[in-house]
Amino acid sequence: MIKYKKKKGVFFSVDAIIAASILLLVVVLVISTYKNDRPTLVVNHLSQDMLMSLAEIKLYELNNSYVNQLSDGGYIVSLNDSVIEEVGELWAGRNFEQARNLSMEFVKYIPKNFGYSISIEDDIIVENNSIPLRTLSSSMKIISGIQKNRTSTGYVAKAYTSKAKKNNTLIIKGDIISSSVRKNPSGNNQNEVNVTFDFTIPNSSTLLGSYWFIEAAWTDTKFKAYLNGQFIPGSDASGEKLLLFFNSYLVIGNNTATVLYRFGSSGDEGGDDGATHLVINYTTTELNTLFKNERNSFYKVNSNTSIRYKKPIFIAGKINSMTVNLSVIAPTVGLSYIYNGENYSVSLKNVVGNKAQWTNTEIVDALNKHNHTYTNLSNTYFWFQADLDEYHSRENLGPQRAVLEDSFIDVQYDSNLNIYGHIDMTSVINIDNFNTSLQGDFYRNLEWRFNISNSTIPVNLDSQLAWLYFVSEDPAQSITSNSKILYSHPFSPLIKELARFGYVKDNMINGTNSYALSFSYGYAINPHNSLVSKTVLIPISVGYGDTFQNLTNATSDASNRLMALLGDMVSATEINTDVITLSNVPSMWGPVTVEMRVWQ
Amino acid sequence: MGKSGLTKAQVFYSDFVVGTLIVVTAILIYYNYIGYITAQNSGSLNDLITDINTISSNMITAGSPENWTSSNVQRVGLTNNKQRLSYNNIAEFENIAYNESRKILSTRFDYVLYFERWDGTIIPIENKCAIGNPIVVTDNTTTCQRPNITLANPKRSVKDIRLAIYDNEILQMIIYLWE
Repeated sequence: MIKYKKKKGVFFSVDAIIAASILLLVVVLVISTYKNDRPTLVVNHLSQDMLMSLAEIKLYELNNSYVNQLSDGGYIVSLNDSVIEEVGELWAGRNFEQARNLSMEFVKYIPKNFGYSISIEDDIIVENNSIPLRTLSSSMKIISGIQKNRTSTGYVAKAYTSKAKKNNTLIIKGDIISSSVRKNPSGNNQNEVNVTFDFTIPNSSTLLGSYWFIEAAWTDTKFKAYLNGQFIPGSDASGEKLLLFFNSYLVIGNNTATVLYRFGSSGDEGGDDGATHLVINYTTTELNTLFKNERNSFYKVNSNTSIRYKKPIFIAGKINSMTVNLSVIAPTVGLSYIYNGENYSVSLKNVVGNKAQWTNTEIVDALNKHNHTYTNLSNTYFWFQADLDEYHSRENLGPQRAVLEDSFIDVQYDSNLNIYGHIDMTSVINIDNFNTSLQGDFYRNLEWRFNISNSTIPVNLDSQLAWLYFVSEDPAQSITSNSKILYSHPFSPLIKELARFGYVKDNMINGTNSYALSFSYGYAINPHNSLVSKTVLIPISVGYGDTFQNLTNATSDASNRLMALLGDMVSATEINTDVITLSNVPSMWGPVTVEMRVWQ
Repeated sequence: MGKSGLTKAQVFYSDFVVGTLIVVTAILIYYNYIGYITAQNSGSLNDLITDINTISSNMITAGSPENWTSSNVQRVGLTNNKQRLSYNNIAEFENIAYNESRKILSTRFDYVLYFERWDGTIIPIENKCAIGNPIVVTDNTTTCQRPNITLANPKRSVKDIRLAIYDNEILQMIIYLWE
């Protein structure tokens, strides 16, 4: 009985060993099998891929019944939106259920053994948290859009000025006019050269200031100046004179200015060397004071010796035809043109009935003869020279020679300008820097700098230059705009009388511009007696701007934008605004951050 | 009678203690052994993970050069850089011989790549069901099945899943890499 019991004990120990071995074997097999067959899974990219895909794929691309259902239900603003944008839009419209359902249509693409969530700001749109989190990948994207059914009434306004005051500058420039005041070989021939020009100060103007710089043909030539028939005290001078404070001699409307030149001490000729200029600053309510300049009138000149008249022409545009019509007292008139400093003959004509005229054909023939066309003369200065009678710088007093009223050059051209809807504004540009004196106040290097704002349209730069030339020299000349060479001698001929130079908007830039002159020894410009001006066009209106919640703010915004556009030189005295009332002004939602999380 | 009952109970208790000790000892020995093996081979697993990250990141780009072909490819990419798969790029990739493709992918490991819909359907690529190791890539004769990488008897493997758009639906691009 006892032995039997001992056998039973041994039997139980063997059972335990076998059971433990079996357990061990099972554990080893299970673990080793698990280890070999299961690949390590990398999940770093799933959230990013999912978010990028939902941001890329458009609603219209999808053949999805729920998207169609949303579209039919009016939940979708634009089928061009991406899926994630639409989810955001539904969220912004507080259509949370639709946002969740739409998201559910796409999270099925995430492998089934992954947890996920899509949230916007702090709101969870959709989530599967049945998978415990061990490894998490997260991606974010900022989205925004138009909010559905969140519209309001708004106002947008535009403004234009129908009445304005502008501070403008009227500049009357002298032509190069000469006539003998000296006998041959010497002595005063008692001639008096009368140069008279008319100018108009626009009606409704108020004079601000004026000055008149007169420079005679020779440095010793004497002269006197008159305005509207009245002698200007202090104007009895020789060589040059700057006249100030003569507003009381001017009238609003038509004015007449006269300079009488006479013999000085030794100079051959009386007349204007082309540097004379009369400058009048004024305010006017006339918005446009710049007109298409098709008629270029000669000043009236009266003398008892032959007369040489050089008329500068500067056309901003493409010249199509020209005629020259002179009313003169003289037996003959010799006409030539000057281009790049070289003189080219047109023809000599006998004066019949005080008239000498050149047709367009005659001028074109003369141009062609010298291998020129109107293209050469467009957008730059050129000159017509008229010699009344055979010209001599020294001659005895003789019969009357005169350029009469109604003498002009007509130029038909296609203008570069369209001033409609704009205010033209001409202003003087002050010298910026100069150096290397050739003689006295005549300098060899000069620069004018000026600004063209983005809101204005440049028209041209025009310069009248007080020049000095040493006749025995052949000085280099360089004229640049913003470092671009516009004229250069050598290569082009020497311009001995560089009394004018101008260029058009093609050589101007928005921002700071530079107009620079540079000469080698033998040529120089007096910056103080030269006059450089620019003309720009300023728009008189601004378009519709931002949308405002009330009318007052919309009109105020339009007015402020217009006044900023007009700047300091123009003050609008009457601003008109057009206001449009808008209904259903769309509201924007966002930007908000959408976050995609995928985990395992 | 009562004494003999005590003796029997004593035998059963000892059996249990001995058996448990054996099991615990065996488990400890096993895990020590496994830990030794894992430490020895963690270098290979890290290499696998590094390579599959590089390969999958490249695959989700357009590759280079632009509009690459199997003859001039420098970096294999299968999309338009905006998550949209390019059929041309996939076809060109399939044209590259397997061993050559491993050089271009800069990996010493074996790989297979295939596309799967959300419902588990495998998308055929030309006349194949996948691109990669010929041992696991099957022909598109009937319905494509997932490649069975156990046919290649891998010692260890890694898997990456990327999502991309093809033909207006989002697909899984699945890549296996093994040694």
